[in-house]
Formats: sequence, structure tokens, C-alpha cells
Amino acid sequence: MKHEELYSEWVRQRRNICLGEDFTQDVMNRVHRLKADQDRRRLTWSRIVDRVGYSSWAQAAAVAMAALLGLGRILLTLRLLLFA
Amino acid sequence: MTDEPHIIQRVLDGDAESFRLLVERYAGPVVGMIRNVTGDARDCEDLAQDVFLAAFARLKTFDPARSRFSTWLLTIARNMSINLLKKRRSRASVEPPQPPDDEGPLERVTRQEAFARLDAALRSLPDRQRRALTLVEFEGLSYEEAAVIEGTRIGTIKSRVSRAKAALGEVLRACHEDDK
Repeated sequence: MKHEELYSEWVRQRRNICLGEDFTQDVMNRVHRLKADQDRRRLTWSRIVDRVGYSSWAQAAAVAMAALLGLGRILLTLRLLLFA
Repeated sequence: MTDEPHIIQRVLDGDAESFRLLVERYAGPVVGMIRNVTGDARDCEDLAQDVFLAAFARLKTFDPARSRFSTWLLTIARNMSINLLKKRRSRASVEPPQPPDDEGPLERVTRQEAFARLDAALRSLPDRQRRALTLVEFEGLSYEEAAVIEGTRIGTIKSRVSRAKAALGEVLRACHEDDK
């Protein structure tokens, strides 16, 4: 057998991949688990937003926290500008 | 392959089951790529699963304007294969691949023996040459696509493939001489 033929046959053999029967299903099981995990994390955030939305106390606390953070940033900027 | 952008969009919209179509389509090339790059058939399916999972997790970052999905996926497979090789080599118990033993007693070389020698020669090639040969010869990619995956120039890929083929050609010539 010529070198070229032998080489081509070897390449063909290398290209021929035998996959396990459950390969795709195994991947999809892991994909679904990952998706469920991602959704659960996203749900946690949406639950927090829901709670804040429904409770007037939580809304007031969120606004107060944001205001305090904003005030803090302004004070920090002023301090840097005046005393740096 | 024309429906591929739609499949990807469906997955991004939350239909994870559509990802199955991509797994079925690219399982062979990904497993083949890993097997040929790592030179090991043992763990390639496990790593291929990790590749698909990473692709699913990072699918938002895929930009169809920059590359084809297959190129993007094989780039992930390439990087994870390299990481696996690095881990293996850092373990003291793992020996580096041995070059083919050409100094053994002369014997009649059958086709399967020639293939075994070619396999051994493939494993003993420098990593970059082996990856280039894998992408172009076994995966059937163009030099351009292989260059994108390897992050190098087309000329470099051509040169690596050419050197790899020359090394394998030497093995075939040695087989032929043994056969005489």
C-alpha cells in the first residue's frame, strides 16, 4: 500500500468517532441542572424585588439606603476635592 | 447549518432543550478534537461534556459576526484540552508521550502496526503541530478557521501542518523499509 493511501486511511480512521450512547443525554442532564441553578439564583433576586415592591416599609428602607449611599458618595467626592 | 442562529437564539431566550441540537451536531467534532489534541481516548468524553457545559454557560458571549459557532466551540475545546494536558504534565506520575520506537527488531509491518506507529508519532509531535494537524486534517477545517482557533496567522498554521505531515511521512517511510 502506498504511503498516501495508508495516510488517508489512517486520517479516515481518526475522523471516525464512536460516542457513548448516552453522551448527548448526559450533557443535557447537566445543562438542565445548570439552567435550574441559574433560574433559582435569578428567582432569588426577583423575590427580593417583589418584597421591596409590595411592602411600603421595604420601599422606604430601599430609598433611604440609596439616599445614604448617594450622600456618602457626594461627601467622599467633596473631601477628595477639598483636601486632596 | 442555516438554522443555527435560530437555535442559539432559542437557547438564549430560555429554551435549554434546544441546546440538544447543537450537542448532537458537534459532539463528534468536539470529542475528536479533544482525543487528537490530548492523544488520549480515556477522558475525552468527560472533557467534551465540560466543553458543552462551558459553551452553554457562555453562550451570551458568542458573537456570530466574529466567527462561526463551530469555530467558537472548538476554541473552547482547544483551550480546555490544553489545560488538561498542562494538569497531566504537572503530575509527576504521568510520563510524557514516548516517540515511536524505530530501533526494535525488524518485523513485517502490517497496516494496523503502521497505524499504531502513526498514532504514537502523532502523540510525540509538538503540541502546536498536533493541534494544527488535528484541526485541518481530522476536523476538516480551513487554514483560516484553524488560524482563528489557534489565534495565529494562516501561514503559521500551514507551516505547522506541513512539519507535522513531514514527521508522519518519515514514520510511513520507516514502516515501508521495515516491510521490505
